[in-house]
Amino acid sequence: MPATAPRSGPIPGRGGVCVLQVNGVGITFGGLVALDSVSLEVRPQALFSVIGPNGSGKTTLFNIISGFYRPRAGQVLFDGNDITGLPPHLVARRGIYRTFQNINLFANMTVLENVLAGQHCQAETRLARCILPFGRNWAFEQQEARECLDRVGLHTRASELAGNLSYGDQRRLEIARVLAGKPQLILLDEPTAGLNPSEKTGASKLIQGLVKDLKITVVLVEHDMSVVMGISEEILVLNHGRVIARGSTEEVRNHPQVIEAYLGRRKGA
Amino acid sequence: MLTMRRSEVRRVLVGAGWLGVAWLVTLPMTGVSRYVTHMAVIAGIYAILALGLFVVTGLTGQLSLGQAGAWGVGAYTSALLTTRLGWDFWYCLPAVVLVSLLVGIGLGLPSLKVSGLYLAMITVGFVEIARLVFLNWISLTGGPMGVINIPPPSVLGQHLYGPRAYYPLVVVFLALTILFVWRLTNSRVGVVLRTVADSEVAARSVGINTVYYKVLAFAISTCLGGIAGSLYAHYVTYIDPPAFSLAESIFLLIVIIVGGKSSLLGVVGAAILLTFGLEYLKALREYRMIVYGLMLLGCIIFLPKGVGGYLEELWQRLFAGADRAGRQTVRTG
Repeated sequence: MPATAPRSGPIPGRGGVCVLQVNGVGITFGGLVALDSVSLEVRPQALFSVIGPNGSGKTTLFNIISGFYRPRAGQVLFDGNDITGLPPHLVARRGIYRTFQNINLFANMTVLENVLAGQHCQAETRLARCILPFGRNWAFEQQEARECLDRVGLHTRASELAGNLSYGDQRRLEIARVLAGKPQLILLDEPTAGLNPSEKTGASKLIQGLVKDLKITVVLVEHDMSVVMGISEEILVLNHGRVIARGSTEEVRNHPQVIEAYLGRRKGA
Repeated sequence: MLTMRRSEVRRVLVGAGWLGVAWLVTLPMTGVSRYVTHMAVIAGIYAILALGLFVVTGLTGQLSLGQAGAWGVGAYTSALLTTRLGWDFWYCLPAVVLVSLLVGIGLGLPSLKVSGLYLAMITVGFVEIARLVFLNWISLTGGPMGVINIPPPSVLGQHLYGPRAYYPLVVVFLALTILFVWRLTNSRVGVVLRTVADSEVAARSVGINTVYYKVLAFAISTCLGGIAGSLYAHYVTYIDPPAFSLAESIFLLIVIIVGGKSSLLGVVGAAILLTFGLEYLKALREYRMIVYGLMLLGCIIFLPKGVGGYLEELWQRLFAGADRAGRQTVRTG
């Protein structure tokens, strides 16, 4: 599936084109309502951010979109196709990739192998083809993997174990692994958490580059307001599992409920 | 004074290694006794079994104690097809592979629901069930009397009877198994299998169907186990249920851990050395397993990557510079 062939059509009633559409999604854990009828639409090649205080359901939303959780209500549409409840590996096959809040790399494998694993959906995986010494796929794929590492600036670390990388490099490797799958949509879960200010600037640039240069749609969960406000085109604000505001950075910044729920509380703390 | 460059030391060591391999391949012609040749045949069969376990436990990280069952199923399938239906050894092999494949899929499917120690318990159950079937389905398997008069395989009209004749056959099968597992480890499928051991969540997030690959690993492992079983049955010409008990699975697990879960050559080396070790410690009777238990414990505490893994690491550290640049693109198994 080439990543550059979006099959998006006009969504009825919206008048626009959107690559990802979440309609009234809800999920509960025991008695806790983690998400309650959350809806959002993301346009192709947008940089869409989801913010909200801790425990507001941002990561839960990602887990639903990427197939790790099955929602109790609502549906997720990707390119107009219903992907609600698809297992994660099939969601990835459609072109939606994600990173993890608590970095989730293949820590005992090399940096290059992590990226090679990321190519899974694009690559030749038939056992006989992989084992018999025909074709030059494997060498070609390794070359492609090195190019992905090059993009995030890790090409010199290819043979190190992923678990031995510094925190910031691990975050970048997660992005390289995602890129290897030639995604249409990337869900980035707090990609700048735990980074120092200069690393954060680098990460922001990298994320913007994904949208501008690679034409990938990015949905971002982030706590750092300077990052979010600096690069987002549209922001959705969650609190206690509900959408309390959405719109441009300006609109969200001045929204009274947002100030109360999120920014206000940070000021008071 | 002897001064050598690292690359020269490396070349000498590699050369010595190949000499050792050549010596092993031509073992029956080097004047060793029939008894040692017999042990070498058994060691070769254990090495194939251990390589099967290496795929599922070493690469995919699924603890399996089912290998003795796969071994037994392969041995009985081949033995019964030749003695009851008069099939030739070579026609039995595809049948053994097919049956083992089904066993592997059956053994791997529980990994849909359970993992870790619970999956290991299921594999223990499989070995016990297989043993009880061999023991109690008397009309088919001969029960405790076992299957007798299993004909040896013939190659070019020659019956491979006795250790000296059988040894080359085992060497060929072991070589093919090593080649297969080595290619597998260094291919994309090997990378994918190892992601399952490392982080299933991350594997699924990049589109890897972890259940499929776990079942695949089990299937490869039982196929190699079944082939080893067939080789065993036609070598000893007599099989009975106790030969395929849980103790064999545990022995293979010791081989994997002492040899190194990520070291192909370590596993082969450990299979050969530990098989011989077990034989030479026979004087200790059942106490010999205490020695192996201590070895296992020592490896888990001091050498978590196994002796093979440790030696590989040492090799890398000593000769990293001597390697041609760019050759270490993918960590070898």
